[in-house]
Amino acid sequence: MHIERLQIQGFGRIRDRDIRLNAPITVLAGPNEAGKSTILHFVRAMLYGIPSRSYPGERFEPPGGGAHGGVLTARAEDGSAWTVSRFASREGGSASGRGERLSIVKTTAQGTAVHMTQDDLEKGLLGGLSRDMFKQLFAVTLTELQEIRTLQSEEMGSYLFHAGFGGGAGIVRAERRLFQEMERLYKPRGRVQESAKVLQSIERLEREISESRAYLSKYMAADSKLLETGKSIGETEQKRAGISDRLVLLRKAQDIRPQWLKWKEAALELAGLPEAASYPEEGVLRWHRLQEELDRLRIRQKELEHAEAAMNEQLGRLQPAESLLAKGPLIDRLAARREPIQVRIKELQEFSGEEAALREQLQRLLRQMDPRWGMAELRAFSGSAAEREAVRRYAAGFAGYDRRMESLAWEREQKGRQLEAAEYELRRAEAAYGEKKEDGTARFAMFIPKSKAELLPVWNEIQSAAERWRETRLERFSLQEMEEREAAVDKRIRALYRKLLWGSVLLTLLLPGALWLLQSPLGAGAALALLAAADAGLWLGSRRSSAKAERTSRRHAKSYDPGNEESRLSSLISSLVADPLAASARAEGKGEGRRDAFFAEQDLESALRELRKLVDAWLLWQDELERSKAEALSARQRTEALRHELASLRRKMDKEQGIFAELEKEWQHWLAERELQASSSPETVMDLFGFAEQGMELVRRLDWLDRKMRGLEQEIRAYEEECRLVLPDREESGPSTFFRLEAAERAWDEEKKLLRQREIVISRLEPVQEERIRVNGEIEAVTRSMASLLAEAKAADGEQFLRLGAASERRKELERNIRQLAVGMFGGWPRERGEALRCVLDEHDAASLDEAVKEAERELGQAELLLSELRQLQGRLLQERDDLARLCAQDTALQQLEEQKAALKDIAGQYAVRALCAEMIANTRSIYEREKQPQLLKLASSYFAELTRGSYARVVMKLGDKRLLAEHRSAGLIDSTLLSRGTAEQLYLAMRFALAGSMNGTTAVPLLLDDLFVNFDEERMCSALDLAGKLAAERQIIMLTCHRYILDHVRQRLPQAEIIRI
Amino acid sequence: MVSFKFIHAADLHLDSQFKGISGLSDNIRAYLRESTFASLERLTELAVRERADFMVISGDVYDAKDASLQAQLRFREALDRLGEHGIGVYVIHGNHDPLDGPRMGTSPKEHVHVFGPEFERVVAYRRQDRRPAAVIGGISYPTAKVTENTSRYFERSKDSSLFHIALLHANVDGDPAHETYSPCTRSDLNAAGYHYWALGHIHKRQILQENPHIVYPGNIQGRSIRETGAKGCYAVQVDEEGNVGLRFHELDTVRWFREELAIGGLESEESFHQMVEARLEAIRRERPGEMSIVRLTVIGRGRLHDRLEEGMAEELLHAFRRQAVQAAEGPGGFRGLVWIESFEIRSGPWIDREALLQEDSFLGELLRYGKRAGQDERIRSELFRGALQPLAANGELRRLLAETGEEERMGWLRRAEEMAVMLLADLGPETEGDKESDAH
Repeated sequence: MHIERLQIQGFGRIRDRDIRLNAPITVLAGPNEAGKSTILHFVRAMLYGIPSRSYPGERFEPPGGGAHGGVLTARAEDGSAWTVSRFASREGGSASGRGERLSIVKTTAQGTAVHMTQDDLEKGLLGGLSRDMFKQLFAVTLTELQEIRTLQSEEMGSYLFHAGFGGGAGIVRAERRLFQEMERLYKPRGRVQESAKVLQSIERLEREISESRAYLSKYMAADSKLLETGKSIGETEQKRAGISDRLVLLRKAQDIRPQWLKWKEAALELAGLPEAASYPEEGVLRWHRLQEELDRLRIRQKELEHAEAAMNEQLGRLQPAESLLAKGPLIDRLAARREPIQVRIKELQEFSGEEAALREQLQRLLRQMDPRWGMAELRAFSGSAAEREAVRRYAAGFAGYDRRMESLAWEREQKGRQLEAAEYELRRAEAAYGEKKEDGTARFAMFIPKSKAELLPVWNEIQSAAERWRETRLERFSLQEMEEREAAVDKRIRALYRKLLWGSVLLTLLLPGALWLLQSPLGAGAALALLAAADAGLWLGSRRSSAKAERTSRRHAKSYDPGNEESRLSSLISSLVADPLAASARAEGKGEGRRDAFFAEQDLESALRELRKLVDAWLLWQDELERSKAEALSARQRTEALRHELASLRRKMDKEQGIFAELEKEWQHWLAERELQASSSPETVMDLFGFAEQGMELVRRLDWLDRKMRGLEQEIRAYEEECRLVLPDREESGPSTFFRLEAAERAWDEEKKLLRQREIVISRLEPVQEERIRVNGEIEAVTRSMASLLAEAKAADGEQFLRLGAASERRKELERNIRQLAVGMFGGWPRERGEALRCVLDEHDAASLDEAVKEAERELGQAELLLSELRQLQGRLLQERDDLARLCAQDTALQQLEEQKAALKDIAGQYAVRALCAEMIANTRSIYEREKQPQLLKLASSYFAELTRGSYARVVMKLGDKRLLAEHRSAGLIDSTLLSRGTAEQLYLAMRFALAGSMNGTTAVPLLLDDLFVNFDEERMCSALDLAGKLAAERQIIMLTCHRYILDHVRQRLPQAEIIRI
Repeated sequence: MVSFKFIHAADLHLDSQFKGISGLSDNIRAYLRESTFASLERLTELAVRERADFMVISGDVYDAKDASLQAQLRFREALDRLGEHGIGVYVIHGNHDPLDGPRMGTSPKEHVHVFGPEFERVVAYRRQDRRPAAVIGGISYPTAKVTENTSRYFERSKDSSLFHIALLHANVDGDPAHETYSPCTRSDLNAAGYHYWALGHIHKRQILQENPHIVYPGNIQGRSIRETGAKGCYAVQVDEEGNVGLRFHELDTVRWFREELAIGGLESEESFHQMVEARLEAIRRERPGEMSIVRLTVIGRGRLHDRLEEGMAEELLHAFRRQAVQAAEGPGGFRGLVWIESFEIRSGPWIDREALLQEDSFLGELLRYGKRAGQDERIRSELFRGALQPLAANGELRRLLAETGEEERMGWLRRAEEMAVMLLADLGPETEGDKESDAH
């Protein structure tokens, strides 16, 4: 952009002024008040609008009124011309820039003029530069140059940190945030930070831990103390036990002292008593008791003797009669039997009456049976069961004989009739057989074999030979037929082959030719070869079939001869039929067949048929003949059998007759043996048996009566014998026997009474005597005991014994007393303690004993006290130890410390991360500032170096701080605020130049410098001018100055500069 | 030889604190404190149940040199319990509980042998028939720092053909993760001619070698995020031929887990919350009957990172912890309780870091600087000194910083970078235009 013309119609003091700016550097020179700054502001106002009334210092209203504004013409980089005409409207008066008349016309290089807006202007002509930027960077007055603020504004910042310096604010923010977080986490000597809390609790825990460390030593101390205490407790307890033992002893001594005195006394008395030999236990008592016993026994003895004498006297009075005494029992027995004997006598009389009656009856019966018989015969005829059986057998034997004879006679008659019938049958059968045989022999005389066995094989052979002959004949016919058929087939095949061969040969000749014509010699050749081969095949085929036909015909050339079989057959037939002539005569058909057989097969066939018929007929006759022969034979056999039977029957009847004669003889013998009448039949004998039985009954009864009577008589006699033994001998037995027996009985009863009395006396006497003996024994024993007592006590007599007894009693009493006292005193005390007690009693009297007890009690009290103290101590120590153990069991301080440390570490980690982050950002920034300065600062540095002639090497910008630093060649980095005014201005100028240079290059906005070099020394001013000259190559520079020397220097140094005086 | 069985445990660290855990409620804290004791009880129960003939404890019975009273009382109880069953106990002391620490004076127990500062050799007997079973050699730390190779004192019993067990608290082959006490090498141990080196000190379970065996059973209860996974002891069965069969038994009451949560692709807090829930549930399923502690490491780059850094992680952590505290007071108690130790944020914002690194911008410069600091120790220490100056003013924090490991410091650095990205990313050059137009 190049400002070409400024037409100021009214702006501040300047009115109607037209300035043309042609050179790259234009110096507007004029004195103060000439309007240099006004021109600067005019340019600003033209490009960005006239400031509103609220900024009167910058509005530059013409003091006299009139038009306020003007026209600015500038040429853009693309060659187009921009004409900006701007006038402040008086009426509007609003604070904004809208109250102005504005016309922006862009005339392109081609001459087209277009109206543009303010925005178009800023973008198209000024490259997007804002008003402030323009004001601060390009249209700069000294005021603005010195204002550090201009470099600190946000917008400037973005320019400054352009090209990678970007994010300065972000970096600051980041750093601020990091520092905040760090502060939250930790701050040295901070109190509220997290770390501070953790550190505090660490401190607390460490204190706790140092305390808990002491637990172990405390525990150990307590433990050892406990051990010690335990030991002292043991000792004290032992001591206390000793004392209390002694105390018990003393108290006991106190208690038993009276008893002890008594005991002592008793002991002394005992010592005084004479040494006694052994005195029987309870001697006196026993002595007295024995004495009493002896007295009592003596009295008893006397009583018994007396009683015995009285009884003996009584016995002497009661003497029994000796004779009666011996008979006594017998008399008793007889008296008892007297009654039954009288009954027996009566029975005897009755039995004799009965016997006489029975004998009468028997006589009668015997007469009935057989007048010869008496008792003896009757007894002999026993009539036993065996005899009866024998009689019955004889009766049966006779009856059986009659029955058998009757049946045999009937049978003989029967058989006789049968024999006659059989004999007739036989005769008839034999006649039939003879007739049949005659007939057959005549009919079949021509057969050579006469029997069936001979004929059948020959016939069978003929049949099989005939079969073979027929077969051969049939075969011959079928062969001929087959030959004919084959020959016909062959002929047809040969014709076919011939036809094919012809067709094929034709093809063989034609096809290759055609192919040859069709220009396919190779194909023709191939076809020729192929077809020729087919021809040859066909020709060979036809040859082969003809050959086969010949072969077949040859095969059946050998013929068959049937004559052989026929001759064989005829010879066989001839062997069967002996007489051909007879045969032909008798059987015409057959004979003819035979004759013809040699000529024609038909004849042979019929001959065979005839022969078969004949043979069949012969076989039939043979069978009939056999049958009739068998019939005749069986009839003869039957006749023979019947004859035999008749003969045996006759023999049987003869035998029966013999048996009957023998039986009769036996019976007569049997009767004679029994002395029976010979005429008696077995039936009468059976009746006799009945009578004999009755008789025997009577006999048996008689016998029984007899025996009974004899027994009774015997009994009565025996009784009378016995009575005689008892009774006095003077009289023989008589009717008075029973009477006398009664008297004897009475005498015996008297005697028995006496005997009973005597027995009573004797029974009383016996115990008295026994008791007397026992009492005597007892007296003796008592006397012996008393003697032994005396002996034991070594006493001469009873008196001495009693004296000794009294002394012994006393000793015993004393001893018991002593023992009782001892038990009372020392009971339950062990031996050695008893000894000790005795010693104490011996040594102390009552007073000193009391003293000793008091002493022991005092000591015991002391020991108890000590012990309880120790126990308490022990309890305390145990408690302490347990407390420690519990405390340590619950003690988690170390873990807590560990946790706090972990927490601290975590915080430290967080802090470290942030601190490191911050540090890294800071370090990177310094690296960046040092090594990675943006283009701008580099440029500024070089400009600054040029301006200061090398005094300052570098311009440094602190990131974020937005502090500008200058690095002096020797003094290092110096903050811009600390530089001298001139140098600072130079620095700022350098920055501006650099900034302007680093603006994006599409638009080179002109620089308007309003007397900026006033504070420069000459040298640096020259440098500044030189620099401006250099920069003018890139952009238009308009300098405003009121100083002549500057102007001079310009003239010298910048020949290209146009100087316009205002 | 006779066959026998023994339990090899080490590093009981009784009454040890759980490191790096905070925000506990009283009862959870009490439970954690009880955990080492509970594990000890399990150890004794195991020995009883397995009918072990004896038990060897290879040092660090107590966590601190001045072992807590509670620890001593509980250990004594455990010994008594083993004694009731006639199980012998052979103990050495290590760097955490050397012999010069204050101990309760207790009457020596017949079944317990505590090795002294000089090498000793004793014979252990089989329980059932009192037959000699093994020769046990051991040596305790007289003071906390033993820098001498004590393994060379171990000598075989020349006239004994029994199985030889060595008890040693040492860092074999110089594991850099642990303090190098009693430094020795595997060949040193092999040279001694012992059959079984029952070692302690390294808390990670490992069988360095077999035949002869060199075994670290690890500690019985994990106590910090550095001790994740199952913890316990070995039941060692030795047969007549001297063949060794090892069986590991879990004893830990509380188990440590480390889980990674990738936030890449996650959009909402809700989904992240669900992811955490799911992960906790998985742990709960793995240890349904016990308490677990988990560190959730957030990785990946995603939009959620900003929100996590801006307090969401903190809020979530508090919410889950509150939940856990409630659960612990509930009927279920500590069964299946999962406590979140922390969210370790290793994620980054949803920005192409690589592109940023290449970019000629303030952030690019910062990240390049961060990278340089990560690589160059000098720059890094400079950076840390400058940044952490204020912290050093406090003694406690100074100590804490001194304890901080390199890895952790690198983590901080990385997180600081991500934070810078988060704070400055929206100030990149692409948003400049907006800024400018806003100015009008």
